[in-house]
Amino acid sequence: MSKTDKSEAQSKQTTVEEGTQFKGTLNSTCQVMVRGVVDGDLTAPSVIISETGTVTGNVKAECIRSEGVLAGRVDAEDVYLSGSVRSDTVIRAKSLEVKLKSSREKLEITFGECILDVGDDPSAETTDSSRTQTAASQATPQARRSVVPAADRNSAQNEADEPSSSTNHRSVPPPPS
Amino acid sequence: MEMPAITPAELEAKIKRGEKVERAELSGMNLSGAQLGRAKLPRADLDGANLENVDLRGAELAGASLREAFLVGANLANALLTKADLDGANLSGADLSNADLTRANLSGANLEGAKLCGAKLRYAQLDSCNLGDADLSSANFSHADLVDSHLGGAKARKANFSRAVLTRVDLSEADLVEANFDGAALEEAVLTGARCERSQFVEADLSRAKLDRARLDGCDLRKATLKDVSVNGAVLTGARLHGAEGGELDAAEAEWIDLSLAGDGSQRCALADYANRNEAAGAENAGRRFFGAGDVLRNAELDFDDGARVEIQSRFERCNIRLGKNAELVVGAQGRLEDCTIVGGRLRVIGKFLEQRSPGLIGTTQLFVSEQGAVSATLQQPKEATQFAFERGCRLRVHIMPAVPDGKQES
Repeated sequence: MSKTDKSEAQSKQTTVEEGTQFKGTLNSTCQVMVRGVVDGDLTAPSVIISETGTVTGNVKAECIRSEGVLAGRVDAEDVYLSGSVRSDTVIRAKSLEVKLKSSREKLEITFGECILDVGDDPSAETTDSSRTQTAASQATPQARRSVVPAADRNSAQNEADEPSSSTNHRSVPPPPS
Repeated sequence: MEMPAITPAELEAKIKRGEKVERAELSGMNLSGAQLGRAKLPRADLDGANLENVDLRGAELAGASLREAFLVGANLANALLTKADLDGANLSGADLSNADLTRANLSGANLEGAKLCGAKLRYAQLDSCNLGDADLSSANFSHADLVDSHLGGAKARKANFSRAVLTRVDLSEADLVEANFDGAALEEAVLTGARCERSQFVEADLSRAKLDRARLDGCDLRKATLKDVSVNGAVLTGARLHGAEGGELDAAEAEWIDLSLAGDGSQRCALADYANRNEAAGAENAGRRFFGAGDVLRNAELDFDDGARVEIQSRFERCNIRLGKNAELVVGAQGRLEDCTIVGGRLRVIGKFLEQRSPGLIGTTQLFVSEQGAVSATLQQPKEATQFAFERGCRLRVHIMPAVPDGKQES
């Protein structure tokens, strides 16, 4: 995209207004503002989901700012989240920002079951000693499941169903009352 | 012995031949627009000379006298001006990028709109100077004297003013992002509307300084003197204020400030707590547990009471930690927890929490990961959902799970 095209795209905006429900694939070269409901695939340089907005599906953008409801698979450079993230959501981003609400009346964000895959993999730095200790557990599908995106989970689950000779299962203490 | 007079043409010819002209007597000479690039003129006398738009790039002018010289628009990039005397010189719009002005005298000089990016001005005399709108990015003013100078609107990103004397200096609307003012004297300085994000003011004296509307986000003000500062509308989010002396900061705004000794964000609190910081620190220390850097703890079972505050700067491997109600665990910048399980409590990660035998975080009521923090874990939320906060820059491989319904918990 040329410089002029880019600045033009920045000044324009596609809006899915409150009360509007969109189903299908939406590709845009300009910013998309969702105040209504989008159910499907959404690709745009920038996506803003307002407090009243809901996006369910695959979302690809350089920048995503969501104050509404987000569900599905999100791929972006920068993500800013508040509002809520529904179950079975995978967020892959270079950077993620979630702020803590100063008032305690309401949570800034609620997460259903989801996976956050942000920045470089920190576990890649695991030291040799711990790598040896955890090698067995890493080999088990059950352990791997914790970092496998939801979309890939089915295949991981299939692997988990296969018998494993080196399952390393640790007892989990119950949550505090 | 007095040097014989030299004409501008002879001077240019000598310089073209690469000759060194030491102690040249050039005072009052009109050299405007002359091409004197890489000239070797150490200790030359250029007092009152007209050097408008002169090309002196890379020139050697160490110890030269340029008092009251007219250097408007001159190009002095990469010039060597150590111990040069530029008292009262007019250098407005001059290019002094990467010039070496160490211990130079620029007292009362006019440097308005000049380019000084990367210039070296250590121990330079710059009192009553006009540096308004000048480009001072990455310049080094360490130990320089800038008393009563005007730097309004200057662009001084990453400039170094450490131990400089900046009493009554005007820095209003200046861009001072990531600048270093450690140990600087800034009494009565005016920083109104200045951008000082992530700047260093450790042990700086800001007594009676005006910081109204200044952006001080992420500033390091540890051990700074803030007596009678004015901070109306200033933003102090993330400012590090451990050991800062004096100062009513209520008129400022901040989502949070950091009162930790290390300035690593491990002791975040509201701005209102700044006034009660000594009492707060006392109360804090009462329920505080600390694991220092260098220690390694393996396969341990640890239980912490309600309200405890645990700070880990060491390395924990395969430990089970249970936190009581309202207890907080801080994984400090040096802290690293590998394959540990934490049950309950609030967790603040500035260092690293890495586990691969999920879930490692069970019933965590609050998870905060700082910009340098890293978490690779599965988190099982409590019945009342976990409160999350992630700073831009943090690294995550987190699987968030909803609370396990009653009766289905693993024992």
